[in-house]
Amino acid sequence: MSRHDVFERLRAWDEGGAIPNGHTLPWLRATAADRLVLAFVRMGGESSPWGIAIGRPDAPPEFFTCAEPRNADLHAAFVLAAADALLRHVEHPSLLPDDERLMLLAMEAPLRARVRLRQLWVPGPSHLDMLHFLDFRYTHANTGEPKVVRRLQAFGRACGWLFRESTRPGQVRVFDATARLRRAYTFPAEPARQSHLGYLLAWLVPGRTRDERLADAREREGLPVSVTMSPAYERAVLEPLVTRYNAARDDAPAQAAVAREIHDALVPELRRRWELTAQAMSILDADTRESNPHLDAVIDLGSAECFHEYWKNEAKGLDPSLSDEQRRYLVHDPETDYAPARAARRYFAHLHAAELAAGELVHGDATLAEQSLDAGNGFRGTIRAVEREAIAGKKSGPILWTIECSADDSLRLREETSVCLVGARKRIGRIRSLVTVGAVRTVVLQMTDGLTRRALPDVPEAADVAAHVGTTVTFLEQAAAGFTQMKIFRVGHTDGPGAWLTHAAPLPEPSPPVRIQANLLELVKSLQ
Amino acid sequence: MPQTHLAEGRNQVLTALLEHVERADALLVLKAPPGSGKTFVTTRAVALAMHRKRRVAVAAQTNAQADDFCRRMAAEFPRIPVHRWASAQRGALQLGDSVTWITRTADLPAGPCVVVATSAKWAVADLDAHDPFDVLFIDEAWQMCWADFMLLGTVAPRFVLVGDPGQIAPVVPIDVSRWQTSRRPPHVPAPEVILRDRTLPVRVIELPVSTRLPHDTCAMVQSFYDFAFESWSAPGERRVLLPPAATAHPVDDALALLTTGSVALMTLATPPGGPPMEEDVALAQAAAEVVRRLLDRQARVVTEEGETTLRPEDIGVSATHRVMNTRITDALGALAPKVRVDTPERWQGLERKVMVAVHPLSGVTQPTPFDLSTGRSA
Amino acid sequence: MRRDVRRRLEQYASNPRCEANVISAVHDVPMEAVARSLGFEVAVGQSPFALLRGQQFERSIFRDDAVRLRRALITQKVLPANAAGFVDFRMARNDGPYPNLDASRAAFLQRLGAFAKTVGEARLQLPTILAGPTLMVPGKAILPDGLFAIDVLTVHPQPRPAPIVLRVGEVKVYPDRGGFTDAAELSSTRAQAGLYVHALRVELQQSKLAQHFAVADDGFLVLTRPSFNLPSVRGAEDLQHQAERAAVMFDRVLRIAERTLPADSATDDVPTTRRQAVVDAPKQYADGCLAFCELAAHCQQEALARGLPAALGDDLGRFLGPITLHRALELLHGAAPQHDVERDLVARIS
Ligand code: SF4
Repeated sequence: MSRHDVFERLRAWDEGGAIPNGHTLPWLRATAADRLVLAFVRMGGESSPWGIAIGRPDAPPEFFTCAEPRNADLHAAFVLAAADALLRHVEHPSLLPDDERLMLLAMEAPLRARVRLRQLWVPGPSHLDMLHFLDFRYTHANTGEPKVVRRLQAFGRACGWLFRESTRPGQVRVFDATARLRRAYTFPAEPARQSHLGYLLAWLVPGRTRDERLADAREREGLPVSVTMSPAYERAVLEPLVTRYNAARDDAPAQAAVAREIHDALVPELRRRWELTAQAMSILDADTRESNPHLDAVIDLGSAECFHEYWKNEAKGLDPSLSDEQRRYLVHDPETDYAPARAARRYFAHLHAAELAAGELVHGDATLAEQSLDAGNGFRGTIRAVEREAIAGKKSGPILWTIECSADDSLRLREETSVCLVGARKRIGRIRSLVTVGAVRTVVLQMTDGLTRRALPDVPEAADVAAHVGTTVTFLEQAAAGFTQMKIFRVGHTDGPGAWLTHAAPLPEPSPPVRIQANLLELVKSLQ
Repeated sequence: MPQTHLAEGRNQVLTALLEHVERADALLVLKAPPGSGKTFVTTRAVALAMHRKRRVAVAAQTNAQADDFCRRMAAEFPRIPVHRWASAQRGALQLGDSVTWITRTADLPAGPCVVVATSAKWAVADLDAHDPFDVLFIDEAWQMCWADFMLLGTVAPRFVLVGDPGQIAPVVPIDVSRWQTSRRPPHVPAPEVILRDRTLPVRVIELPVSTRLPHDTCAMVQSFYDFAFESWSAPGERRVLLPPAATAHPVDDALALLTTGSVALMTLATPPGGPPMEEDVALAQAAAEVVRRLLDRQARVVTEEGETTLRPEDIGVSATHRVMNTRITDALGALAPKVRVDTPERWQGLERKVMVAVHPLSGVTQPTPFDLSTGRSA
Repeated sequence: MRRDVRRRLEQYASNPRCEANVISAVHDVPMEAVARSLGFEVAVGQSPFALLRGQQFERSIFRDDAVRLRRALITQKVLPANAAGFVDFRMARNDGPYPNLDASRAAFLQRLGAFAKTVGEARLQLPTILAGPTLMVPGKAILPDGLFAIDVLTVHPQPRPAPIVLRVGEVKVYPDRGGFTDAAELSSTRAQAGLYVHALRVELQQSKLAQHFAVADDGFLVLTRPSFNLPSVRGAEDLQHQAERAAVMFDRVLRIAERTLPADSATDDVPTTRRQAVVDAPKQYADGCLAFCELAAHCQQEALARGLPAALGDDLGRFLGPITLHRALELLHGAAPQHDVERDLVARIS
């Protein structure tokens, strides 16, 4: 938490409700057709769902439950019933006609356009974890009728991909409603309390006093929103039902009746979670703030990820001629990336995503720029001199800007850091020196990019004109996203001479043994 | 007094490294505590490799480290030509008569050579059109994560990784949960990943002596290492001499501790309501005050080399947060250009006669259970 | 209503600045009882399904001479490939042979004594898995529920005169998801295992067996494979720090207890006087309260009423220092600062 965040919390307390955080929202609103809301509940101690609520936000959700989630067959059947909606949402290639699938696989762009704004919303982080558990449970499912197994595996992989995607920095595809609300608003509550979706929503109800909202928030806090239900409810309502269900093992109609009762007992729990999520979504949609205008690159990266990290592999996996080994290679392990090259590629991909999101969005939201300044990631000051450095033998040396700032401001940048100009982000400079005398910090920048008007059409003057003197400018650290992106591709090169170590290629032939005859210490001394 | 068994120990390690180079073995990790002569032995190994007509690549983690390495080579082996390969954006530096500054891949030399560049430069270099290098030396290897190391597989078939295992691992700004149980976790320092894999043909050697750390500091940091090393200096051999002060000063008691040992701990009372949130101006001023007082009292430093008056250039200050460092620089005022202030990561590999360190937990009122959770040991 | 010792130590450590909390932890007055006495509704207990699953999991790993657990321990190299032998010290209600903790402890100590005397081949073939051995809590006189059972110990014999190494294992039913495994759960499991390391060392010392045994600084966690009833072992867990922390905390709690404990004996009912002592003691609300203390809602409400900024987060408490929320809002709305601290705040917020 920065000082800014803490001060904002105080302001929110003063206002008596949640207050907006930032000038923009860092995601796009999507239509209901592009959105899916998903909520889970689980049986205490189990790591797979007991019930699933799923549906588009413009229609009532469908509820799927399983009378006895510890029974593997029942669980698989229940998951299978719920799988379709999720697979449709991720455009699973098995749902498409062959020719369309092959066209999409070959062309990439149409599929990316189709999934560009797809969003999955869940109430909170424990629901995201449930996607991960489903990945563990079904990605490698192997018992049952082949068609069913394939479907379950596809569902497991879809859950796995969505879970992994939810961990990619800056992503705008999988939405944890609690986290998004906290991103969009500042709440007048201690951070630990802000992990409850209902608690947060109470602070957003319009037309109430602080005390009313606080009382409402406290009340809502009593109703669980994570995947776990209250032990008291389990004990009083569900445990007797499950006991009856298991006791009626030999009486199918009786068992079916109890299964319906279990379903009825789980639905209100699922409904509450689902509805809170839909409510959070509609509050965010109704917010008057625009989406960040610099989101394009972030969303494009998301659709590329969807294609390359998920859809392409799914489509290729449908090829009946693939061997088991080839098919296995298309599947990500739920736990980790065991293959070193894949692990490194994904690591760089996540680094790149983080740099891209931070670097882009800061230029589309004045609050983000201010927060970044506050955190010391840049400086604001007045240009005192614009000059060309004289270099012997050269007609014109580099352009230097001398900028004076207040020494009171935080600064974590150092010499050699590259910074870009807020408002004209392609104008980039490198910090030559930083000197503080009294209350003034002087920064000398060597301007390195975006020097001419042509390079920067929205900036009236080239970098070397004296007219800049006296103007106030803000510079922020320049993200090195392009460099990391290059690493994603390069780390896949498995044919270098050192690949035996770096990429676990076969060990090279050992060199013939060398008998050491010389006194190496003396030999080296003689080289000095 | 230099201790003979320590000098012998270091020579044995140097010999082992030279033998490794001589035999052209595949992989060696050299663990070197602070100030243990890492660059001393590495420059010698590089010189031997070049003498044996090998193509030698050297990867440093920062431009400053690469420049320093070239300077050392030029000073100690002036007859060995060295190429410093840098970005075209950096102005050429004069690093020594034997060092040639190059910026284009096309300018890489053919045949036996020593080329020094940053890891980042090597990582994205297109070396296809050139003869492969025979061996790659990686300096400060514990500052390089495995994923970045993987990019160096295109440079050479043999590797010598040199570094200080007690150094802070590279800062990773993203969540790395997914790769924690990966066979080769991409975010973990490269030598650690190599040493975990028992199938690799790796030789490990350890430098046994630190010339930088005084005796008691060595003992203090020893627990962060999985091998033993000693200080070159005997107990009490290094200290600060302080002429009597004309007037009393609040930091004098702390400074007095430096006259008998090498570590003094000074604490500031926490203000009511807890320490300030991000930048602690009072703490920054206190750190600057220690520096100023040492200089005002004309402190003298005793080391194995004799007794000298402490200059601002002999003092360094370190705090973990860069914003704090800026505050300390501000508080140092006119002394700032001479007293280097930086984060612990950037201090790695450098030395000063006196260091003022702001404790990283300053401002933490209550570490969480998670802070205190230690995790796996291997 | 006795609670396990580790939970009381963790409770103490969670907010040692709150006097009420310290009294509750040290005198074993469950906050739950205090909250109830104040008329608050307290959600208690564990999910019945989770309880059952925990028991079933534990039984399954120890069934048939712990065959499943042994396999997992060997795969993770906690035990060597030829490891054999199992001794069960669990109580009858957990499928073990002993009627109560005292009997389990006596059997355990007796067995350790026998282990210590072994020589030659017999020593190298000691049983390698011990289930549910019972220990006495260090400082039993003060912390009344003095016995507790370790989930599992592994035995690593070495030829004489080297000591036999004992390694502590902790069994939990939550799933092992690699790097995604719940960090808070892991941290608290390690804390628990660390406490056992410390307690086992003390027990060996007190039973004069210390020279024959060494308790390893590292231990292992037995979790579940996600969605399966199989064990997933995490070996080489460094417990050294956790054990030291437990030792320090024990020491502190015992010292506080010595100073302040009323001389009544432990019963299942918490005496009203003790409960009242907690009610009357000053509170110091902090961020962590919500996660562990049944009085959190009450204390936060009180803190808010008094305008204590920590009620809205520890960081806000540090930001405002001694200034109350009420006063901070006045300053925010333009009231003139009265002294330096207020002037400093106004400078920071303007
Ligand atoms: S909730 Fe209240 S009683 Fe419990 S620790 Fe916090 S302040 Fe103390």
